[in-house]
Amino acid sequence: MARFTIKSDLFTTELDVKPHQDLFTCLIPALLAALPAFLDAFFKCIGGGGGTGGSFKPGERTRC
Amino acid sequence: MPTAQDHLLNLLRDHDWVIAAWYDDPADPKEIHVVRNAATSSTNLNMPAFLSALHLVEHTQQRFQTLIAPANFRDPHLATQQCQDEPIQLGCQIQPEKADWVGTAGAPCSWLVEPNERHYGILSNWHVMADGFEHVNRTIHQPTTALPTMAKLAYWKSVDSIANNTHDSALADAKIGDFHTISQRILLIGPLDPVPSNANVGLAVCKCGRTTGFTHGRCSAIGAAVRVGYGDFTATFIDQDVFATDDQTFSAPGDSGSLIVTQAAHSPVALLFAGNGQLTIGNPIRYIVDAFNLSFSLK
Repeated sequence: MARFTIKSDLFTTELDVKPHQDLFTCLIPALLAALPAFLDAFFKCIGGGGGTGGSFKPGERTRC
Repeated sequence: MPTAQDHLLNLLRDHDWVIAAWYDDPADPKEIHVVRNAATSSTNLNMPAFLSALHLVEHTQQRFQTLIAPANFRDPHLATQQCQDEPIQLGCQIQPEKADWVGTAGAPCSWLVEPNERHYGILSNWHVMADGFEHVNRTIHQPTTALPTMAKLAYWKSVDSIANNTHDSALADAKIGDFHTISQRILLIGPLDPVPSNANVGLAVCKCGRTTGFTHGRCSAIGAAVRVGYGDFTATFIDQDVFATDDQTFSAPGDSGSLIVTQAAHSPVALLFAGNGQLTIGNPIRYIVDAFNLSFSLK
């Protein structure tokens, strides 16, 4: 089995490819699994993220 | 050559019983309004030639003071003084840590910390959120310190007892954990028009504050020089907006920090910070927008 790591500034994901598997059949689920982290990082980049900032997310907590 | 604004300041400097002064029209003055402190025995005004040429209108009123209230009483019938679940609509009562007073969280707003880092929080006064303990991350609670933190003090403009002031304002970051505690709405008013407006005489306005709730009134004057009591010191403000109403009290202690908006579009006009029961004083919102690069949009 071979382990591949796909790493970028926005996300990192790893996938294991068994000898009988085709690289592309396991690449697609691995990329789908990394999609939420990728989108989160992407929208932070274009919408102003980092630090304690980010987009406006009104809470719904019960305080009283 | 002193400007028309300098003449107003000199009136306050030369007469400690003059607590406010303004022109009917700062661009083309024909009248000068002078407010005398009712608690002092006044003497004659020493007017320079420029002011002597104008028609003098005198008022006698109580001195102007900041409008905070003691924290030991809450009216159970007023929504503005009750605890709110998230998202918290502003125009409500707040109390900072280490303070025995309460005021009003005026408006939802946002500001840039870095080019790509926008923060969201509340606008109120320096004397409501920062005075006495000027520390970043001082916790701000709604409605009192008995309840969890709703925001943390981020920026402020201290009021100077010697130099002239234009605004008394502070910002608190409302991000607690992963979410912001605040709503985009103001109690009893609704959502804001994010585009600020300048006041003009006669402009119909309204506000929501901790003590008097929703009230409406009109702008009585712009460009006023005002002397305001801060408890242990007095501060002079220039170029201030003055508001009044005929049929109710526009503001009372506890309303400091309220945002005054146009009645028609709910566009931000001024930040309420002082009054005397008859007149209410607001910082023109343009000074605060410029000082903090502030936006009233939460987008």
